This record gives sequence, C-alpha cells and structure tokens, in this order.
Amino acid sequence: MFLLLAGVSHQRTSLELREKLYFAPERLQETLGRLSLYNGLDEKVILSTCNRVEIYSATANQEEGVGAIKSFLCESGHIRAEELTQHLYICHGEDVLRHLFLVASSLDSMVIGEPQILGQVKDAFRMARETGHAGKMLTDVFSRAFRVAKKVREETALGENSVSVSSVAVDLAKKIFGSLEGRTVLLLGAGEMSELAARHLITHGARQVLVANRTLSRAQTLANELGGRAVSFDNITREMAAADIVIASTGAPHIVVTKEIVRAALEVRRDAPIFLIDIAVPRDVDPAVNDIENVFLYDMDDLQTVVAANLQGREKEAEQARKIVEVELENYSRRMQMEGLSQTLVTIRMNVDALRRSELERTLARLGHLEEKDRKAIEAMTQAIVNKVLHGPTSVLRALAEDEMDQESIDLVHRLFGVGGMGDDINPMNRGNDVSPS
Amino acid sequence: MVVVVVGLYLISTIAHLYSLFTQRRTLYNLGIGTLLLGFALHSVKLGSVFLSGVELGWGRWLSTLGWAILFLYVLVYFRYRDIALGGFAVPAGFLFEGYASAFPGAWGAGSPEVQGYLLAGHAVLAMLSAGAFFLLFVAAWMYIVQSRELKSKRPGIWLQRLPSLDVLDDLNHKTLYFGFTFLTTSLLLGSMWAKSTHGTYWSLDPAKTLPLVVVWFGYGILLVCRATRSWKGVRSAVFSIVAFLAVVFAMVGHL
Repeated sequence: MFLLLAGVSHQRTSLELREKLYFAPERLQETLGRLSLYNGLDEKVILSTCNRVEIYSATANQEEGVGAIKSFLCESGHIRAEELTQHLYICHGEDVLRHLFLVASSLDSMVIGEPQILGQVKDAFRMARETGHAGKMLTDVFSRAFRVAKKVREETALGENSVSVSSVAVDLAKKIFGSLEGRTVLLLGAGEMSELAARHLITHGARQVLVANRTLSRAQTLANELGGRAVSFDNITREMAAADIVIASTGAPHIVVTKEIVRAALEVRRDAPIFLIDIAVPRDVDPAVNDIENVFLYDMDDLQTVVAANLQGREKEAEQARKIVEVELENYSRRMQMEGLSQTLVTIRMNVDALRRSELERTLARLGHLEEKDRKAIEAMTQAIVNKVLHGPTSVLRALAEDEMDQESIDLVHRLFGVGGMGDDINPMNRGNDVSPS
Repeated sequence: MVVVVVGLYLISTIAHLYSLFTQRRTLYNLGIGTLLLGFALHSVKLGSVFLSGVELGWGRWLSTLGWAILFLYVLVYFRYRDIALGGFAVPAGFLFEGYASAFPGAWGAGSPEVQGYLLAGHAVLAMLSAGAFFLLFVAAWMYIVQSRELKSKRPGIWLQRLPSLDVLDDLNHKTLYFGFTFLTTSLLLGSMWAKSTHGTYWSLDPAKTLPLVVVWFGYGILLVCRATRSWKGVRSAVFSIVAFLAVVFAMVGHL
C-alpha cells in the first residue's frame, strides 16, 4: 500500500480554478462516495478549503490511483485534463507526510500560522473516517499530523500575533480593554470601512454601537443593520464619553476630533481609556490626541506598521516550526522502519519454523522405534539450531535498523530470506516505484 | 526539604522567564506545577517553624516575605491566568527563600521576644502587605510600560508579553486594597502586642515608625483618590511606585 496525494492550492493555482474544484463541506460525504466509484483508491480523505483542494489516499497501484484522482477532479470541476495537469501537484510516500504535517501546522497556509486550517483538516479526516473511507494507514498518518500540529502550536509562537489590519485593531483593543465584551463602539462616519470594522468588533464581543453621520438617514440605516443607535454628529463629545472605541472614517477634509473634544470626553469618563482608530484619509483625528494620558490613537499607517512587524515575527517562528516538522518526520520514519523490520523478522522466523516442522515430521515418521523421550530431544535440538542460526542475523538487523537503513539493504534482506516486501505493507514512508509527477 | 523548595522555585523561575520571553507554552505547565509544589512545601515548613516557636531570625522573615509574594501571585494566577506577573514574583520569591535558606541566621538572630500569636500575626500580615505592595509595584510598572508600548505604535518586546491595561489596572486596585488592609490589621495587632508586653501601644522610636506612617498614609491617600477622584492608569501607577520606595525604607528601618 502506498501513500498518494494529489491536489491544487493557492501556491500554484488561481482562485478561478480552485473555485471550480471546491467541494462544499455539507456535500463532502456524497463527494467521497463519488470518488469511490473510481478504481484504485483504497483509502481516501478529501480536504477542501478556499485555499486548497487535496485528496489524500492509500493505494496499491500508484499509477491507477493518480489516474483515478485526475479523472475524478476533471469530471467534478468540468475542466480539461491538460488544464488540471498544469496545476496539480502529486506526491508519494514521505512527501505526502511532509506536506500533510506542514498543512496541518498551518505552515503551508496563505497566511502562515492562521488557526482555522487544523480544524478543517480534522473535519475532513473525521468525515472520511466516519463514512469508512479512511482506513488504518490514513488514520495513522492523520493522527500523527494532528500531534505534530499540536506540538508546533505549543512549542512556537506561530499564531500569537495578528497579521491583518482588522485583527491587529482587535488585538490592540484587547490589550487596552482586556476583552471587548460589553464595550461600546462609536462610528464617526457611516462608510463601508467603518461598517466592516464595527462588524469585526461585534463578533469579538462589542455590545453597543453608536453611529454618527452628517446625514442622519444614512446613520439610521447603518445603526439598524448593526443593531445600534444613530446619534447626532453635533454632540460627539457626549457620545465619545460613552464610547470605549471610536472608529473615525468621515469624508471630512479637516480634523473632526480635536484634543479638546477628547479631553472633555475623558473628563466625563473619569479617565477610563479610549481607543481611537482613524481610518479616514485625510485623517479625522488630530494626531496630538495620542499625547493625552489614557488615550490611544492609531491611524491606518500605524496599524500597517504593526502588521509588518508581526509578519516578520511570524516568519521567525515558522522557521522553528519547520524544524519541528522535519524532526517529527524523521521520528515517524524511524518508527515505521522499526515496525516494518519486526514484521520482517516475524515472517522470517515463521518461514524457518514451518521448514523445521515439516523436516522434523518427515524424519520422525521414519524413526518410529524411538521412545517419546528421544523424540522430544530431537525436537528440542532442531529448535535450538533454528534459534542459534537466526540469532546472529536478527541482532545484526536490529542494530542496523537503529541507524538509517536504506531501501537497498532492506530489499537485500528480503531477498536473502525470501520474504518479499512484507514490511512495505504498513510503511507509509514507502515511495514505491515513483510515478512521474504529471 | 529546604533545598527541595529552593530547587523547585529555581525551576519555576527559569520556566516562568522562558515562557514570558519566548511566548512559547513548552514550559508553562512545568512553571506553574513546580511553583505550586514548592509553595505547598514552603507553607508546611513555615507553619512548623511558627508552631514550634523557635527563634525567628531575619532569614525567617525573608522566607515569610517570599512565601507571601508567591501566595499572592498564585491567587493572581488563578484569577487572571496570566504568568507575566510571575516573571517577576517567582524570581523574587526564589531569591528571598534562597537567601533565607543559605543564611538562616543572617543579620543576627531574631529578637528573643518573638513569640505569641499576636506578634506572629502582626509579622505575617506585615509580610503579606509588603508582598502585596511588591506586586502592586510590579503591576504599576507594567501598566506604565504597556501604556507606553501602546502609545509608541511600534510593538516592542512587551506589548504581547504584558497583560492588558484593564487587567493591570484591576490588579493595581486589588493589590492596593489588600496590601492596605493587611498593613492596617498588622499595625493594630502590633500595637496590641506592644500594649501587652510593654504596657504601651506605641513604643518604637520615631526613626523606625516614621516611614511606616508615611507608607500607611501614602497608600491610604492613593486608595481614597482612586475611589473618589477616579485616579486611573498612569497617575495612580506612578504614585504606587514612589510609595513602594517608602515600603523598602520602612522595612529596613523597622526590623
């Protein structure tokens, strides 16, 4: 049995093609069923997210497996084989493991370290497992990938810092207010940007939204949509006193929020901190507002600076994470090799023992005059010979396996003892005969 | 057992500092686990010392101070689930307990009068208040640093590592409240003990008592201002840091 992976992802494929191949999660069960109609795939897991569509499988015949996946994808996405071939990547054996480990640890994501992917991989695997499409080999491989992902999360700070403007804004708000639970947001200007920002804050727990706009009707509409309240633009000092977070995005050509306004609001708030986010160009808030104690002002550039710094930090952690993946890959390969070897040793012993029995029976049949005691002695002797003959090779093999053992030596052992490829059956590291990747 | 406690605190110190600075969770549980175990053994040790009524030297008081700091930090940890404060509290606890264990008789033997529950209560509460003021000092400093980080708009090494301003302000308030309560109770017990042994409520010389009075009034004023004049954030933090210097003077002068 060989591990096989074929798929497309954001690394090499346009969104246009990925859209065509995308399988909706609610129809995954049916999709797996449809994939089973193609011959050659013994086990399969379909991972389908907006950034990737990948089919992990265990197959006895790699060429047939690749063919099955290709025709399945072409027919599902209504695309030509040449177009698919151009974008499809195919891996075997150890490379499948490496890829899966990287994907599950969010190291192959468009935004490295984003937290959703592990859940998506888990869901994909669970679906395949529950519907009987994932057997022993894929179960083993995926469980391993989940452990590696957990290790990466625990031992690196890969996902710690946000790398988008809106999540950085939420992070900063949390660094000021602890949590956004029950906080009040004031929108100055009812544009699309402020609506987006407000929605983001609401999903993170912000409760009350106040909308102030020059045209009240627009404020009213947006307030209704957000479940908030429209307020007059003329009295923003009073409204600001109630607001923990202020998002300014008016189209005004001049400064709207002055130092005096903020000072007055702060007085009413009894110095409770205010977080101002100025996403307007030209700016709405006087930059000097940031000099007031307990007031924190960020404009678009400031947020971008934080994003850039966080991205840099994330790249450093990703390096560490990739090292963990390589080490885990090696450990896994070592374990698989040991398991394969003990399987081989058991087979050798069984073969030799079968030989011993048949020879023993033949000999004893001709020596009918022997007493029970003598028969026992002869049997013990054959057993002892077998044990002694096998002892040497066995211990040498075990010692060899402690170090890396290449495929050639493994093949040689199999040929010497006439046990063709027993260990290969359970070794997902095995690449088999490489099928050319396209 | 002494060595075990110090050893556990050392491991916890390393784990706390590692977790704080790398932001990785590898040693997080180890840091908390060794701290709790060490703290439990430390408590047993101190308890037996107090119950047996052996003479208490300076070393013992340092050990009690370390215990008080860690006790309060453990409470803070279970309330906020944040180890940033531990990055300072645990090393402090380790140093105090380590010094106390290395030089148990350092700075002369304790006064032979140290006996009786009044005096023991007075002393333990005094150490708890000192511990609370120490945590207040650290949290106040953290508040100022975090506030500067947020204002600078360039995330430095502290932004992610320190708790939110909201948590820090809450921490400032709670440590101030408890520290002041402990201190007041400790002073009451102290003067009751003085009355019972010396016949007067206040027998110490002014050099020893003046800093105490300053400390008590200082934190008292801060507490009142926070409640009535909404002294939030940086102003309150700066005040706490200055007040802590008075605590150090008072402790050195008093014992």
